[in-house]
Amino acid sequence: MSEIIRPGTGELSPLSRIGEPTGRRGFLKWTGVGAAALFVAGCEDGTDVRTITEVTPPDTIEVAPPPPTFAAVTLDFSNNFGILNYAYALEQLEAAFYTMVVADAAFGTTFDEPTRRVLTDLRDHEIAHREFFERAIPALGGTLIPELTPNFDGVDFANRESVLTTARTFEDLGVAAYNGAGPLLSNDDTGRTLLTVAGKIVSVEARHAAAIRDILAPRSMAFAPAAFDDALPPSQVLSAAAPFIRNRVTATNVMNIG
Amino acid sequence: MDNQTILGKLDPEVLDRMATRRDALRGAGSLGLGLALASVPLGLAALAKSAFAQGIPAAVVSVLNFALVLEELEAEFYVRGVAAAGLIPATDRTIFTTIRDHEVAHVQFLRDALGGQAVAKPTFDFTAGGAFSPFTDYAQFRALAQAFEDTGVRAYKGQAPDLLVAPAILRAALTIHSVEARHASEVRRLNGNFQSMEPQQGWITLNDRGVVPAAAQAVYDGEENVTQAGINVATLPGAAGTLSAEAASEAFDEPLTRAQVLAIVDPFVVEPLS
Repeated sequence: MSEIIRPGTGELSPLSRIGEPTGRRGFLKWTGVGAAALFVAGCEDGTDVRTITEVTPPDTIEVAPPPPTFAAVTLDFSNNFGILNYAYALEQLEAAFYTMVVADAAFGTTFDEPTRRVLTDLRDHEIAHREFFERAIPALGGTLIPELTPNFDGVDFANRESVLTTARTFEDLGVAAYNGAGPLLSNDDTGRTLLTVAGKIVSVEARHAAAIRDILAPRSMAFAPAAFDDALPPSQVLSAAAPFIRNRVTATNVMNIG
Repeated sequence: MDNQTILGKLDPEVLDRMATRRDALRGAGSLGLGLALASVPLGLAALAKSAFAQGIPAAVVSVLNFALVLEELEAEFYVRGVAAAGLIPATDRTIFTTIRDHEVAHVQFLRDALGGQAVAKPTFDFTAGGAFSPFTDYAQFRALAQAFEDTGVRAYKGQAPDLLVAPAILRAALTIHSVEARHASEVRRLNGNFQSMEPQQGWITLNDRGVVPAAAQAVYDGEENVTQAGINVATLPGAAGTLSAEAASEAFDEPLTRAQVLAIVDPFVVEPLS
């Protein structure tokens, strides 16, 4: 084991770096491979990063290097930084998705002009969110979870319906995730500040959700399907996101607020 | 317009006194509760009852009453707009009946949660003393709708930290906040004829008010902020080069204080006859 594996396909790039030139922090891409390169269990700052051991399928040994494993991540919700990293994980997913959407060779023909503008804006907004958390978490004294690796195998990026329904899933899920996580922040000055920032982001996610929904079903009631949006607990959000992320991401110590 | 009338009463101390007086006068019962729950999800309906039964902290009551006045304003605006003959074209009716129903449900939820502590519904003047005619002029109706929705988003955001003391109520408020943002997005895009051109996209670019009248610029002031938690987002890497100030401002909505919100809605609120 411990062969050096070169980044090859976009599929194996870390979640937040899809579409970027190789080189920038590229060394991070493969630190989760094989050995326990990332073993930071039980950190005080709310991250709990472990590698998972994955057995190489025996019939592939001869023809390919062993498939990489992806660092499993446990988010500790008893800690503000666990909650921030939860947001960071979701923003990584969204940013990677829209980056691939806009970078797709068929982007210009798959979507009409207004929709391209929307999707390009969403890409930029989600990148802004991801880059913000990537700096804010360490600046506030926390430790970032590793960059996650997406799994968009189920998405046909040259298919309008496939992209837009996936976008709808991500935006609605983001709204429900922030709505569910906001009340878990600490009731102190730090928690108040972080809730304000989260509030600034969640309403933009809701604006996105409405726009995508309206594009899928113009001028219908789809843009806001209920008077009250969902507020989902992390376990449900992470289950819904799991098919799109190769890393195993789990939540622990989630306060029950009734 | 008298600043010391109904809006002055949204000062927390005055609100508390009003609530106390009403409790004494009416008792703590919440008439019409059964009627009101029709479009409120079961969990929230239970929360509304239990929050009232357990006694809500005074600071939370104050926030909820503030929200209630804004929701009453929105609800009446859309009820009257949808009812106005010939105002809303058939192609757009679903948009506004949907929003109307949501705002009515928000009012019901907040009234249920507050019970006897809810403030009385204010009297509204959507002409703002004769400046507007939203129920006969569709463009004005749409422009005011955008202003009210974008204000609502900012208002909830500004109050959210004061609800951390009551997580279940905060969660409910957040589920309203994001729906207001969905409304805002839809109305903004409608006002841009769904062409997604700045400034009439679903999101707010810098402090651009778009179709909203200049008199309501305060709805957008401050939205141009690009510094979040000390980090200048407009200096961070984007898809190519650095994120633009436009994108950095669009990606984060900004809160308003209670005083800022009250100043915005003041022209539309008149003292009730009593």
